[in-house]
Amino acid sequence: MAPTTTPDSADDDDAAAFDDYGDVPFDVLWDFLLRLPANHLARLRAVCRKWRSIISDPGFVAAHASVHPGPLIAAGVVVGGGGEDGVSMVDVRIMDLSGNVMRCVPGLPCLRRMMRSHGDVACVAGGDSCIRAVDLGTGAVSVFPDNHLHEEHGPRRHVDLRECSPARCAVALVLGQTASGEHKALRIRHHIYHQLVEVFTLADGRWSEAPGPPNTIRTDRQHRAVVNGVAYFLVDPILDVHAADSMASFDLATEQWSPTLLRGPLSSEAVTNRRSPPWHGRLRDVTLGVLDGRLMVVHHNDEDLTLDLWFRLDSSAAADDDDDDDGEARWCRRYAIRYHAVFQMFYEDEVEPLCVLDDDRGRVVLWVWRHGRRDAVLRVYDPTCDATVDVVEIANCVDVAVCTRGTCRWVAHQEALLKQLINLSSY
Amino acid sequence: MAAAEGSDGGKMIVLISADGQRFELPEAAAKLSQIVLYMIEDGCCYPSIPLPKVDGVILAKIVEYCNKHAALSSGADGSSDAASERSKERELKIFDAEFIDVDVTTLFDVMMAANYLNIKGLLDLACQRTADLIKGKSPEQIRQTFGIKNDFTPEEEAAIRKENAWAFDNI
Repeated sequence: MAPTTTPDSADDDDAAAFDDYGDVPFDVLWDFLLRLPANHLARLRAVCRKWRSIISDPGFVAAHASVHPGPLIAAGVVVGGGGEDGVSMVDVRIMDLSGNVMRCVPGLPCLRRMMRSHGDVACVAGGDSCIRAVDLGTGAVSVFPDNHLHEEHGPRRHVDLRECSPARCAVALVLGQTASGEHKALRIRHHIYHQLVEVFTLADGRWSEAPGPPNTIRTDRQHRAVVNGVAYFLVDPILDVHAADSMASFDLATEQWSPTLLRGPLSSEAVTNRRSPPWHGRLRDVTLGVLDGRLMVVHHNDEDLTLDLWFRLDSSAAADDDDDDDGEARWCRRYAIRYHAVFQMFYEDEVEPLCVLDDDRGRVVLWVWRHGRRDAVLRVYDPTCDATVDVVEIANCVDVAVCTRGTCRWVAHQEALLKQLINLSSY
Repeated sequence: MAAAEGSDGGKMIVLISADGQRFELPEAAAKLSQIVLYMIEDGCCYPSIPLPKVDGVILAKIVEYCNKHAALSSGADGSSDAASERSKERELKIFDAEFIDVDVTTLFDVMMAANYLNIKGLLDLACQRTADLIKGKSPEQIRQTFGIKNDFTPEEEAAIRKENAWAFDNI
């Protein structure tokens, strides 16, 4: 039995505060609070001291996470601003797959929608030459000044984000985590014929320079992916026709580019199901992503009218020849989702598969962009019945990613509330 | 009273509520309570089991729940094909939904009794119902519904609401 607050102890402060549910045993209270989605819990902290003490308890937080498993989705939503200066205010919302907002980090200044989420940390590039890294688990925001290069290398090297139009100087920010758990952001700037790469280490707020990519790469969000400490970028198929359907990879730990390109599934000889669909080199046809911890290539297969999800197989599983070293990765098409299931409105124009649910049906969580990547809908595809269910629609969205449940190593401030954090990169 | 025999030949267990009411139920139903199960295993269930923390009205409900669940649990009548399993499941679901559709005070008492008697299914049911009642309510409404006194100072409450302001939208 639980320690029960009996009416006899009514002169005790706690017991006197309640007359009915007040004397619920601690473990019963714990039990039913555990069943509530986290977004309700935040509100219930205001009911009374006893409830607040349970909801804030680290043991309860851990138990709650195990009772409510499943991925959390972090979305950046524009809530204000967006004037001439291109700076808008962005809330970062963490939702479960029912669309319940579990946590919200409000009011981050964000320049030209430059915000990206990935993994368990978030960074927002503001209009004030600062990059904000957000621990979405605790809501703690760390501000890193973005003027190191300016100071160390003179004004010529410094690019004020406010002054460069996207046409003149595209900037991409990519965030990832090395195998040792270190968070690093890559900033890639397009400078006439070159792509300048800078690496930002969140742990010490240090910027350093890295070599440029071996080929001209695409840096927009749908043509890059970070997985297992390696950032992959699609080689620009327009500027580099001979390397179409190839990816350049950057190792975040060594801060070096791989000397060889990785062949994509559409031209690779090492695909598991042999039928190799054609690719006409159109950029919108091929996007990169991460699903199930693997590098994924999403192919809009206009011939079959399906969205083909190609997974890169473990290089260890294909160890018979040096696949990796000669750029011949092995690929397997795991899903072919009908266009009709994915895109249901004519204004739904782009899709990002976010994750596969761990429920033996192999459901896939899709993020479908609308109106040229302004609004979005979270949609779950069930391959067993070839149908989708819409979870939530979000207007004015800048970014989305799956949160991993981890602990942030670079933020000293730990409130031990929800243990999910967000990585974020912007472009 | 010695070990009673039920109509189907199974043993019957007698429970006595706090206000002295007697409830007789089949052993299989009584065993849904972990506490009663241990007492049966220890052989200290005869002639009856006194339950001084549960009053008659609530114990009647508990007995109703146990009887229904024991009767409908799989294999009770020997038939266990998939179709009948499904229909039993559906029947239990409907029963549960009606059973737990009670006022807050009764719900509270049932939850406490289920916790005391350690009947997992019923505790789950009562907790889920309570959780459902809480959903979509403001802290003030929750205090009213459950009769909880607000022990925060106005400043503290304002601070908590500010800290979690986003969670108070749309209520």
